[in-house]
Amino acid sequence: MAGRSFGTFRIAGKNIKAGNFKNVSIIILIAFTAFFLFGGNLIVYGMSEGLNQVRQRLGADLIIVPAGKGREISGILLEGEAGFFYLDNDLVSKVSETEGVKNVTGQYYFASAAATCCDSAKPIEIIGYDPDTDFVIRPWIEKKINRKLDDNAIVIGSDIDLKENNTIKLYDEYYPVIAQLDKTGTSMDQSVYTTKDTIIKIRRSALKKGFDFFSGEEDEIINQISSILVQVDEGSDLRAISRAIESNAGEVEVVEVNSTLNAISSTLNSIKEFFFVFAILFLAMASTTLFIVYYMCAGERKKEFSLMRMIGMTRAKVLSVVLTENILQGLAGSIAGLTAAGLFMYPFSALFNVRIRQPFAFPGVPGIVLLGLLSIFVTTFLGTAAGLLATYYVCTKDTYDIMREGE
Amino acid sequence: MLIHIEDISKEYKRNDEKFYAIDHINLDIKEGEFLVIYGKSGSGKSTFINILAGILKPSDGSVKYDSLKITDGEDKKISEFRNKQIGYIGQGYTLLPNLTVYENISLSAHLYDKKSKEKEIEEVCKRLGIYKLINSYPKDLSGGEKRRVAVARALINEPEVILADEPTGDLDSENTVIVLDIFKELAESGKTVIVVSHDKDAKNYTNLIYQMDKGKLTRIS
Ligand SMILES: Nc1ncnc2c1ncn2[C@@H]1O[C@H](COP(=O)(O)OP(=O)(O)OP(=O)(O)O)[C@@H](O)[C@H]1O
Ligand SMILES: [Mg+2]
Repeated sequence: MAGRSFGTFRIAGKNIKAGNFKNVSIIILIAFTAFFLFGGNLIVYGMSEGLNQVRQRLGADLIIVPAGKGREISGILLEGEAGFFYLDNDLVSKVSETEGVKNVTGQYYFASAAATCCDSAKPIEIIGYDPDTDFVIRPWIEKKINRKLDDNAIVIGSDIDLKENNTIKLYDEYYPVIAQLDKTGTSMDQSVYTTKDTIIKIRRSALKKGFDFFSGEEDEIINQISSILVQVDEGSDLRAISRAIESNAGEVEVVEVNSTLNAISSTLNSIKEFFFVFAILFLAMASTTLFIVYYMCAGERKKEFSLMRMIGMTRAKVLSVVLTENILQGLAGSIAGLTAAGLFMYPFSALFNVRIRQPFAFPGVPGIVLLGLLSIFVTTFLGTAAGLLATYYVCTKDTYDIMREGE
Repeated sequence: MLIHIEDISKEYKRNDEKFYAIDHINLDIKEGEFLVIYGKSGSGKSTFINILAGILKPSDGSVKYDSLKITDGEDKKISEFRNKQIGYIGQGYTLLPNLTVYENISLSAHLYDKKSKEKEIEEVCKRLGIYKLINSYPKDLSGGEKRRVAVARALINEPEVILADEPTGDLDSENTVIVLDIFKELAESGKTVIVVSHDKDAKNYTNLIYQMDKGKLTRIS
């Protein structure tokens, strides 16, 4: 025999089970809403996050490259295009003498020509940094490890396989890795950061294996860098400093990191605006539709509501039965929508990097959970509010009149 | 429990013309009384019963159960009173469609009283011959079976007042006797019973017979 006590929850559950088709339609509608809300937010958020990561990781205000190479730098940094260009090491000290310059460090870029060399699906970019002057890489890994960068430290991007014992294999040699960075959704995830000395070692083993893609001789490499990264004093005039460097250092081009990123940023902003307008229209449409569907259901169920009143349920209790039904439907719908959005978005993020050439990074677990909860809340709230309003509207009349209308 | 009906009326409009479905009825009904109300279709019997049950507001006047005014007041108080003290059997089919027979009765039984009434439910169902149906849904029952479930539900909380709108309309003579016997027993034990009926046999159960005619109630025996 059925259990004796009879809660709101149980009645709501039985009502949902009985109204099969209607409930499935409502749940699907809510699922679509949640899918859109969560998926759309995830895209916008992921793009912001990707951009943020890039901004943080670049860590410099100005990047100095050989004259005429300015346009290549953002391709190299964000999109993994191969590029080889060289500046003289001595320029570093010249640049650091410029007024308003706070920190200066050199970086040296290589791209491994063959993906087969190493533990990675795509060609690896090798970026050499100077542990004595570096101010770019240190801040990110200091969050991860409590150790000063030493001469042979290797730091790898998130897409590179880390072997057991924290090593990576490059041209059959194992190198110790001290940190792996968070995902940015850019070619930085394919990068290996290390010192000049290690680069020389890697080059030697590559030559032994018959790969010869490093141009120049060893002593040339020692004296060369690809770019100079500059951090300026706070509040100083970037334009003026750029001009001063360009006239001081000769054949160079100064790239302002912010204006490079701003181009991406403005794309992102228009996507955001579009999404926002679209989201409002979509939500308005969804809530109107939900209201209509619920209103029609409530109309059909007039008699049922009045019967509950008749046996002595208060108006509040009847509403709480309906509320429970709506919440259950809302939860079922939004969880289904969220799951679908998740399944859809995962492959989508790869597409984003490759096809749309935008930095893209999923927010971390807390971010996703928060976004998910928010979407569940909004969609469940929408459904619940629409359902309650419709029911209340139907139920304010005299119980007996409602019952007669419902017959 | 004394039911004090004071000058109630219910006005409706038909074709832009107002008319009284209930036309200024005054009546006191005492504990243990068994009233049968006869009347033509459309004379206002259901309107009257539903005003007494507090689920329809009169245009004028009031109905009091002892000191509790059911015609207006706090929803919670009136709802609880209706559940515990009024056994209402409506004219149409009044079971919740998504609950089984047992659940329909149990819901009413445990709405305000958490004490298990499993035994009582079993008893009343057996008496009304619906015990084997307790796990069925209303849609699978005959009209007379549904009626008896509604009667069982009305009795389960041992209310002080029974308000029944044609409770025997679709019952065979055997079940009609069962139901009317129960009502008579209740009246004898001090409960108040008000039955709207077309059944001529009903008058054999009481000498308080009323006639409803165009919203006016007159005693005919
Ligand atoms: N909501 C309403 N609006 C307009 N007229 C109504 C309304 N409810 C009832 N009436 C009218 O009031 C009158 C009394 O109706 P009521 O249902 O009380 O009759 P009844 O005596 O129970 O009839 P029956 O024996 O057929 O059940 C009828 O003429 C009916 O048409
Ligand atoms: Mg009637």
